[in-house]
Amino acid sequence: MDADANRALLTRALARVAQKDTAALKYVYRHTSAKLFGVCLRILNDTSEAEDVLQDVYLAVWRKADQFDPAKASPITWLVSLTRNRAIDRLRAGGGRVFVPVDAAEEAVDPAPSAVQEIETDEDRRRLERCLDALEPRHATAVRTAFFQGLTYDALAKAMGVPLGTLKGWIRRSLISLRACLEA
Amino acid sequence: MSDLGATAGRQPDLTAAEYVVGLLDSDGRQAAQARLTVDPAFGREVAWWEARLTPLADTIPPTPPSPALWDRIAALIEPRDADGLWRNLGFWRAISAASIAAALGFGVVVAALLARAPVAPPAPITPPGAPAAPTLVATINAPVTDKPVLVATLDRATRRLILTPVGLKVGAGRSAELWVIPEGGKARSLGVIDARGAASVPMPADLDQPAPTAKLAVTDEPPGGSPTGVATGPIVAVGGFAALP
Repeated sequence: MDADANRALLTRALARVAQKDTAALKYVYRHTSAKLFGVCLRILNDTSEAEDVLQDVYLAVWRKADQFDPAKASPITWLVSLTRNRAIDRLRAGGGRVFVPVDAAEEAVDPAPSAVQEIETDEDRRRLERCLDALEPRHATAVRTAFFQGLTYDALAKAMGVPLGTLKGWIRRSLISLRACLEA
Repeated sequence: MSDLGATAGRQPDLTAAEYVVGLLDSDGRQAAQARLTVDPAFGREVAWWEARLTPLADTIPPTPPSPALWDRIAALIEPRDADGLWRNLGFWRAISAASIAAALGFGVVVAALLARAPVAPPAPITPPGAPAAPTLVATINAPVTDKPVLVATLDRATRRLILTPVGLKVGAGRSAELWVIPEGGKARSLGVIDARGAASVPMPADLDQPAPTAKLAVTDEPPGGSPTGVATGPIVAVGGFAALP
């Protein structure tokens, strides 16, 4: 399947980046920057902040490609995790994004994947969706929204218009269920 | 924020999952990042969650960044200066992030940066008079070409740093900002400088020593200089001091 070939090519490119091969970094950039920029934008909701973070991400890739271990993670998981962490750190450093009014909260909440067009699915993805679908729908929405927007418990409770304690309960129960389901 | 367990000790520790999902506040994230550097079991748990939750990101629509971004990145990683430039920028950013983990990691990087910084060649400048302490000259080179673009002379008699640009370039409508980077310390702005005319600034305290180890650097910043107090733009010049013979 294509995804496997892409993964192998990206893995090889990252190994060359670790040898300080700029052409390899350009390859990684060409094949991942749109995806990673989408991730930054979703969290930061600001083009210039998102580009700053994306620049940091590729400088970090250049610096830390030797820390990528293909036996432990797929290249995309490694890159997306790196990007999400940098973007969320930037979000926290900036004092948090503008609060979404409660009326708009439902719109701000990320849609269930069934509403999202042609998604490349693989086994991990299907398993995750199955486990999320097994949750209470509002709880699953809370988990998805937290993941996509990097919202703290506090911000998420405001965005969803539920008391903080209630939201924490939802999320913690969801994470425990997810862990059991994903382990199975 | 993550210590619900305080009232219910039997609750499982979900910090790794909360970190990966992005629920932790600033303090919680810094604590988790510090824990990652010392607790391998926690690291494995974080990796476990990352592997399982990251496929969610497949649903985010890809969006190409502006075409200029690759050029910015490429300028910062030119192989010619692969050992200095990006580390320097990374270092500044890490310090501004002030995370324990980053600070620990970058301490080593800074040491490497300073160890590898190019030795300034003797500069073709004759200092006027005969100062009591040797006059020091720094040639501040463009990292990509390694050509001097700014000559900085430390005049100990007047206690001023004299700046002579020789082809210093910043983007149109942008400002050149001068920084002093003490060895193992945080970059400090010396203000915006004129990229075309000679000028002088008071001698920074970091350079008030017989053989200063601090580096000088110039970055390309928004008009008026970095709005954040740390460098935000690409480094256009960097170098250190050598005593005139």
